[in-house]
Amino acid sequence: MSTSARRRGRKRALPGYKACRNCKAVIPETEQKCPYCGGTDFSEEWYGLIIVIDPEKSALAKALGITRKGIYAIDVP
Amino acid sequence: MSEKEEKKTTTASEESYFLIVRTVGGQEYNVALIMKTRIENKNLGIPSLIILPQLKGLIFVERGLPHVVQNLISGIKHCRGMLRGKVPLSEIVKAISRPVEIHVGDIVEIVSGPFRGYKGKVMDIDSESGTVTIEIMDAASPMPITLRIKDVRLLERKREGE
Ligand SMILES: [Zn+2]
Repeated sequence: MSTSARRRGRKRALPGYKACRNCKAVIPETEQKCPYCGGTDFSEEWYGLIIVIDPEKSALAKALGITRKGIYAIDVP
Repeated sequence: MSEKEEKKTTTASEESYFLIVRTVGGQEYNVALIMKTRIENKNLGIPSLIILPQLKGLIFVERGLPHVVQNLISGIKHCRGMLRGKVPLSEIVKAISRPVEIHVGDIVEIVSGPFRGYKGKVMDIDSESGTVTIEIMDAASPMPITLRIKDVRLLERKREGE
């Protein structure tokens, strides 16, 4: 994964964080389990970020079907 | 766009536009996390922030008032101020649902929702609404369902002559 990222010239978005492949939550690398969905399949390669601070008031969160506050990746290849 | 039209558009998207903050390229993720903390601590009423993977050095701020955003980013390292203008929600959503690398006949896997994990064949694509209709392969009888394009992942390209 990281090899292909380097080949495409893409730097890791935020060192120290990984993305859950199931729900796309971005969490610290030290977490064993996704606190959002319980998933254990992670990717260190992820791009784009959606930070939902107030899902009730966010038209973006509504448009994307996000109901929980949190940090989500957009691309998890 | 005529003045009248512009006014109409502004009214329609009153609650759903984004201001743009510029950062040093590659620093947008760090800056956005600092902004998040400040928004929460100071209760600034900004409900979301977004970084589009294809746009380096930009952070989109949902429903921020210019003076609030200006204040929010003041003193943040690697932050380069605000760009003029605003982006409507529809443009942001379009940019996120961008992967139209899927064609009719391709085999895809469903990556979210109740049918997650199932494979299907693409029957139709509606890029305008960002949806794709697929026929689930493992089902006993062919079952067409419609999903958002971003809820499927390409597994296999359609073979030539198929
Ligand atoms: Zn998860």
